[in-house]
Amino acid sequence: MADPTPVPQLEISGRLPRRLQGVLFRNGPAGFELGGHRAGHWFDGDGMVQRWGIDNGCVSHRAAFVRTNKFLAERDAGRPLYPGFASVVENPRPAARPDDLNVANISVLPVGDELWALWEAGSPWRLGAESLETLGMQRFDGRAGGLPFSAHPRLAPDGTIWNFGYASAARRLFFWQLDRSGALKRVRFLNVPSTGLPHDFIVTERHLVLLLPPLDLDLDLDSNKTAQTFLDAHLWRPERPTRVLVVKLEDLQTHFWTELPAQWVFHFGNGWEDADGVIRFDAASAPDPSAMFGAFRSIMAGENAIPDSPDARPLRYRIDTRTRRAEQTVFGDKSVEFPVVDPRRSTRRHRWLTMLSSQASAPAPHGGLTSLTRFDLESGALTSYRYPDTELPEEHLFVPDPERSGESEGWVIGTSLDWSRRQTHLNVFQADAVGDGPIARATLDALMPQGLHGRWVEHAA
Amino acid sequence: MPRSQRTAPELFIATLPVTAVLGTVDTAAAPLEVTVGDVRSTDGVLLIQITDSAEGFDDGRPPVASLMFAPAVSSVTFSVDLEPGVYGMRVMQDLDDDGEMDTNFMGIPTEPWAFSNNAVGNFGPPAWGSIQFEMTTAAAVQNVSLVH
Repeated sequence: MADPTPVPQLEISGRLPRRLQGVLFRNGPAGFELGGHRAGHWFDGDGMVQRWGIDNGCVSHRAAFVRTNKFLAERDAGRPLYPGFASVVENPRPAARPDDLNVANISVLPVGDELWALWEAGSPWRLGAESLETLGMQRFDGRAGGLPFSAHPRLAPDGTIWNFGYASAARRLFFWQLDRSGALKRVRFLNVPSTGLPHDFIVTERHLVLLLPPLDLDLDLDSNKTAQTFLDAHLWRPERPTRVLVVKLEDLQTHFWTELPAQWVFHFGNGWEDADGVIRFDAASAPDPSAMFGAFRSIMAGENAIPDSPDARPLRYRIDTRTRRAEQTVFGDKSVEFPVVDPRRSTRRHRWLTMLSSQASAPAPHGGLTSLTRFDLESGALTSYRYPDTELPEEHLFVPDPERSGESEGWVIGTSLDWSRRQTHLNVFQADAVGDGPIARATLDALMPQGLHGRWVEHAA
Repeated sequence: MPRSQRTAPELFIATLPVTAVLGTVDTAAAPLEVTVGDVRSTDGVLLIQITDSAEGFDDGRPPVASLMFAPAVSSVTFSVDLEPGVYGMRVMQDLDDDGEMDTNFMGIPTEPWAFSNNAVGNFGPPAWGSIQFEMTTAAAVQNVSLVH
């Protein structure tokens, strides 16, 4: 599959806000077939980054595959060479290290003039922010080179980039601190009984928090070798709790453990800590990871009957760092995913949470998330916009108005996939009125692959 | 250990037989021409070890051959005379000149490396079976590419 053709000017309906100027970068799995072979899981597609530029009322689109070592080697050979997270390959080449399997397909992180494409079990890949040209694999110095760098780094208000990484077989968690230019300040690690597959985490002003689900890795699963893939070597143990690890940012070592009921969280909204040492955060939490084991595989095989997976619900959590007790409550009866907050509130108390949602009583034919929903965590009120049934919305981000400071002053922007017309839309909402629908839409006359995560970069004034 | 304190052979880039190092001359020995490719920087030193057994790299005995070359972008070629037999070769670019293969906190090498036959292991060093090559009385060639 070739890189999509760049389009310098998309058709726009409605009016783009004058102060909305910048770039929405997105990433997601996009390369699934090679030489007649198809990937076995959504997560195994080669990463393709998209750049939606908004400049003085004009919207442009550009996209490019990340030229990872795996991408280039496989295209050179004309066939898949390496096993994936949940894909099996005939006559595989040996992989000396995780970065040999890196598909850089989950998220992006703007760093200086560059854009890093993020996987989660290896290094970031560096791209030019303007051209999306692959510049090379990011190599950290010393003992950090090649360590796992998750797809969900958290940015503190001072620009510090905090991140974590997990090494399953080594049973080790890594914690990263980079400065705003991407330079490594520290990397530390902790040995743990089991890592599970933590995808995201929370950072407050003083701590980081990981939820480690009861997902055991057994690489010698059974003599029949039915566990052919990395994913299948994991067993869900719902009789055990989800373990919670709280680590001090001060030394990235001092920590304590606590527990929550068994659950599966892909994504957290935001977390913060008060003067009494109470940490609060929110997440989209499901009872188990069956979607990852089931639906995300079936969809690759083109199966029409996608197995039912219990949906994620919006949950709020409270961890008292003094008593070490953890509690959770559900808020809202919708299914939710892709929680985001005003990036200026990251690691601080937030009031507004933006998510995609759906209602079991009113499904769309596509079976996925249908709506954009904004939660007011103080009043409990929510506002929602339901997309047309022929459009599948993707992650939406809050974009602050550069001339305003209020947490709800700005816009919500996100893409939607219209497969009936084979178009992709960039939708812009007034943040405090998402129920009114988009105030502007830019339309790309091509259908992009369903992606995962993105970031907004405001143009310098 | 910094370069200056080594007693190993001097650095050179040209072809040089190592029979002088081994202290023997044997008319059955044949040249193995080695090219190390994808050298991306001139930092540090290229270290090459040739052993004749699976344990040979790490059992503490001196290898059959131990060579050092100044890295040249983008490849370095040299020749070494070896008697007939089965061998394995390991190459590393010691970028920081500390005499060791540096690794990250997962034990994964952070300096460039290669093995004979361009052998690659599965999340670890390659097995002897994939590294080994045979020398007869005829000249032989190993073209290996550094893994970064």
